[in-house]
Amino acid sequence: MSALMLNRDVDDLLRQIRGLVAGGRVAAARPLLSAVQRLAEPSPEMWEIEARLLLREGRGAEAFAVLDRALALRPDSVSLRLCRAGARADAGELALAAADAADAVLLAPGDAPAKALLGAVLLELGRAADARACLAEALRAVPQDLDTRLALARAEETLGDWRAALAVLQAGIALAPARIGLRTAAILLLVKREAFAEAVAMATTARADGATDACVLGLLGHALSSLGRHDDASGAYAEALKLAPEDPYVRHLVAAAGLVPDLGRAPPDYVRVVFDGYAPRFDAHLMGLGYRIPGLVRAVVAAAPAAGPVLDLGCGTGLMAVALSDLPLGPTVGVDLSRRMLAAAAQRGLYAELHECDIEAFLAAEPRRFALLLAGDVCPYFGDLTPLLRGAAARLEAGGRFVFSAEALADATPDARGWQLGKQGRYRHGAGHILAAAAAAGLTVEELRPEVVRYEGEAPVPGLLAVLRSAAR
Amino acid sequence: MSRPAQTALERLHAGDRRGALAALPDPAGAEEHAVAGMVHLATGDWAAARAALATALGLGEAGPATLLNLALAEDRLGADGRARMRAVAALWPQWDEPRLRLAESFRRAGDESAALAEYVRTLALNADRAEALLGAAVLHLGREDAAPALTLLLRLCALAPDQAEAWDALGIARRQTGDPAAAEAAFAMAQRLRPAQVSFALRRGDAACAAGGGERELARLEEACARDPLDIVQMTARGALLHRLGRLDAAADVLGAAAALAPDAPEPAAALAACLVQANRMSLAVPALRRAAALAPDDVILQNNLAVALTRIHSYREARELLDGLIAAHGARAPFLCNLANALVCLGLQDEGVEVARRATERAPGMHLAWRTLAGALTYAGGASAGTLRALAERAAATLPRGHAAAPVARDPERRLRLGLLSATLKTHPVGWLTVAGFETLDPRAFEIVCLGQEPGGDALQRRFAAIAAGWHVVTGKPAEEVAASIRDRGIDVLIDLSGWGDQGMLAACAERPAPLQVKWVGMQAHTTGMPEIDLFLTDRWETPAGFEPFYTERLLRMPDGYVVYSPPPDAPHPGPLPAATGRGITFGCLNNLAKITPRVIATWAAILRRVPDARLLLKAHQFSDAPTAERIRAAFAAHGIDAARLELRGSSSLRDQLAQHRAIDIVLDPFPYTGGLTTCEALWMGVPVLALAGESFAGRHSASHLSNAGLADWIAADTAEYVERAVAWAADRPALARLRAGLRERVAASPLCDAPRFGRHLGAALRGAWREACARP
Repeated sequence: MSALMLNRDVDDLLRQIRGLVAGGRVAAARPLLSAVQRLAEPSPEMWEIEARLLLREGRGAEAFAVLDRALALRPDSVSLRLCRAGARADAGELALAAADAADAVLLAPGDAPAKALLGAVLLELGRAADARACLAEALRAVPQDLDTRLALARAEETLGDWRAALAVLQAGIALAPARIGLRTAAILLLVKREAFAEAVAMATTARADGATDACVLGLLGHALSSLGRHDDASGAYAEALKLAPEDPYVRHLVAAAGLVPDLGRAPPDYVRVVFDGYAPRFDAHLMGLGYRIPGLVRAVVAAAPAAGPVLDLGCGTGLMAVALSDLPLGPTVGVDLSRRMLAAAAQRGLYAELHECDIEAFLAAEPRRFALLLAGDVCPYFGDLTPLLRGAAARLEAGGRFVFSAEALADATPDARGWQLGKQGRYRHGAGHILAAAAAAGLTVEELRPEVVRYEGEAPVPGLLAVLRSAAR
Repeated sequence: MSRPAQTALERLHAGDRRGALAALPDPAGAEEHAVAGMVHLATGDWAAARAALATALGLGEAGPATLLNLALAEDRLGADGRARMRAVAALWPQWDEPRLRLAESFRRAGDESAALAEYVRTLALNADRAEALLGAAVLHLGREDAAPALTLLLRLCALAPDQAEAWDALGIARRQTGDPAAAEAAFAMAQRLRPAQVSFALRRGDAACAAGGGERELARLEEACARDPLDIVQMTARGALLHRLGRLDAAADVLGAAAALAPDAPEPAAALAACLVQANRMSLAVPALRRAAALAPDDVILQNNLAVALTRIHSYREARELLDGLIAAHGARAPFLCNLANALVCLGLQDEGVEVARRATERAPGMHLAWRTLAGALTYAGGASAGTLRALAERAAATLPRGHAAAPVARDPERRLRLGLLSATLKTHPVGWLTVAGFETLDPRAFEIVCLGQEPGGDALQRRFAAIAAGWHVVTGKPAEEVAASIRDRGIDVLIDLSGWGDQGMLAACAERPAPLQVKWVGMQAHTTGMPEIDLFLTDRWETPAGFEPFYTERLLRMPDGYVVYSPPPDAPHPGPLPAATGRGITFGCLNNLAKITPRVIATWAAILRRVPDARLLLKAHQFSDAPTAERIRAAFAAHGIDAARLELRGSSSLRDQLAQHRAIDIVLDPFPYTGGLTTCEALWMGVPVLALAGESFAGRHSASHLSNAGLADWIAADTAEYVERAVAWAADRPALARLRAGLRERVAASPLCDAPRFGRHLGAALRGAWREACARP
């Protein structure tokens, strides 16, 4: 075969590269762009494509350098502005992103994507009212754009008008009944508002229409479970797992329903997802459930002489620190998996340190010892407690105490292991298991008593409050 | 020689053919005519060459060169040039040239044996004649007779070390003699001599891989591409190597870039297409193949591959036309016939397909593709007994090569067993829907699952397999012996074949007997595999009632319920009410592939429609997206007196739409003798009962098994007369149909057809029992 003929049509090649970058085909775009850079002089268009490609490749700093240089040469380019605005927003530089997006809107007042991007950035900046105006205009121009519609719904929700948010989503569903993302957003909104019956109805309609995915089914399960319909919820979770078989969150929920073998503890991602999603409403939710643990722990701690430092395992939004805040304790260190929870805890100003980390991993890596370890509502995320108690024992000062709560396994429940995964994805433990685990960890049991830890609906959830002590050395 | 003749010859040697002719006087003498003849030969103007050379001869110029040149011109013009070549050879018996020309003439005419004999004579006269060395070697290589080729080529490479083709051929010979490292070195030499030749670069990468140096070669190519981003040869080689290494996405990206940079070159397009075909990205593969085939219209393999790809995207009519053209132009080669037979069957022309497949078996009785194509065509067409189908499967199985590796032995009856699931279709495919829930519910303490399948990732069903698998190994696209080695190396105890004699099937690997116990289950499980190495055939008492044993070479492992477990799609829409409840006539329907709809099926359905005058028939198949095909089927019904207005033919759709279409159907009419499998389960899940006819082959009893398993045995007919009577009777009883539909999904969900834990227990017990027996064997 003779020498291969090169395609020297640079415009054609750039058009192809743009399509590849937009489709995320980085590995296909890069060799073409390298070839074009040999074939033609650099141009602002080439720079923009290069920047988009660099961003896709995760080479942000190089992308910004290219964009800055290109915009210095072509300050009026809307596409360059938008490109940099998007890059800045992704990098968390929201104010700068808003400035670029606003410039783009000024340069091209009729450009719907520019308005949509500005609205999305304003929403992130907490300027929900301005965001709503931008997003509504953008959506009028391009009503089928999913991201803009979702952002507008979020803006309405942020402004407190969740019915308006729901209306935005429902209008989208009417327009495009097969768009599952809109259904998911609407059902999630209802779940967050605790409108569980409405959420179930909406998810059921989605199912009958065949517009279903793992998220829809997972949320359906969540809503059914919240209505106390645990068997129906199990079914929904099992179906969700068929559509998202590798999703550890869904797998955990299905394990909870007893349909597949469980992993022995909730996967860290599950804990993170559940609590990141809950953070803003966590306190109210738990209080609404009659959450009693911080008060129970406080009573134990207050009855003994002052101690410190304190390690709060699974500190969440810091409810435990609030309950203990008037007691003369040493500096408190908090550990949790959920970044959003930790952000809420930090706002209370009661912790000396906060760590985003898995509890077992933290206990294994931490060199310091503590006089008091607390774990309120942590055991429900662990099956076998032995590793947790061993880790805690290693971090207790001589004579230090570990106070924690668990949800109780009825004595009649036949399970040789002494613990069991319950239908809501929470592990329950028998007193015998806690005694054995404490013994294995070398901890003395000072107290192990039944307590009601919370209420589910009107029903009290039986639990255990444990106080374990490290041997004095 | 005259002065002008000498000048003309000098110009000809310098490549200036026009100048050479201009140098000759008019009128010319004998010598000048002879030289003009040579110039015309060089330009390929055979007629002018013959005229000039004949004139020279007439004028008395009868030298050996003139005579031989005249013979060449005559040969090219289709006259008997070889006779004159032989005459020249007889006149100058020590001259090697006429022998070489004879060899080349025979080779052009496709007579390879005669060509080889003449090359040997040439070499006897002149042992250093490079063209003869290469020509003879290439003929040997074409017969996969590498040893003599190797001797010739080693001599040639020493004599003419600057000849790229010589090194390339040496590489091919080394590859055939099983020395890939030496082959790689030879291809590297060829590539150095001619860097623009893509094929050398491609073969070099392949040899490097075979020699275990794929990653090293990849690093070299990556460096070369970074150094020169415009070097399309290296880019194409890099992409092809990524493909060879199984990194299909990366390969497609690189090859896509190469094809975009060299849109007029067939090689990058062909390499891209091959990679996309392997990745099963057919919507991109077909355009790439079309482009490659258009750029290299003489490449019959490319044309044939295009036809295969067209059948895979259900463009059967176009595939048929392409294959008809190929056969007309290049002869009825067996692979073309097999592909044509498949296309014909899929067009609903089953009997024609059988005839074409039969021709393939006559032309290539040693080719398993031919036998399995014939067996497949007959399974659809009907008219062959289950015993005949077994005999054909055994013919196919007998042609598979078998290595000499010792079969692994089953030991330790109670230990945890490693199951190997062998299939390219562990995904959204009948194999996925009908098996995955069974594997999910196997006791993980007793069984470990290893998937030997397609590229990982993919759809939700594939990810379900991945979620329960201890390992996932890509075997698709690999040679059978590599697949077998992979199975053996992984210590698979029980190998479950889930693709059978299908296009991507891997029974050739099973023939190497890589696991102690080998089982056939879903996946082109149309009938027996005919393979002595397949020990067990997973079945049930409805698929294979007692007495059916002689139709199978495997031992029948009957499950207590049905032989599959259906995993209904969680996103299936609601069935909806009985369409006929609105007062309109009954809508019969069938959503099976047109390959299953034979003339006899059409005649039977037409009989039902005549008996139920207000009824309609809704048919849905990929093939109906093609208007002429739909028209042909309408005409077939019209021939039985059924007006086209009573038919609704629907084309391709998404799976979700496919399920939703059941909302318009009251009763499904199952085809025969190849019955519905997954399609029947889907209909039941969508609340629509299926009227089936039970046959004799395994494929002929799928529906009977699923219906019995779901408690609907009263929907199975024994013959076409009963089939018609039952259809008519059910159509008349709408209240009963409405009641059945209202509860059918729940009924099916509660039946063993969908009871995964129950199936998993049974499957575990069946496999354990078979393993214990294997362990007890001496």
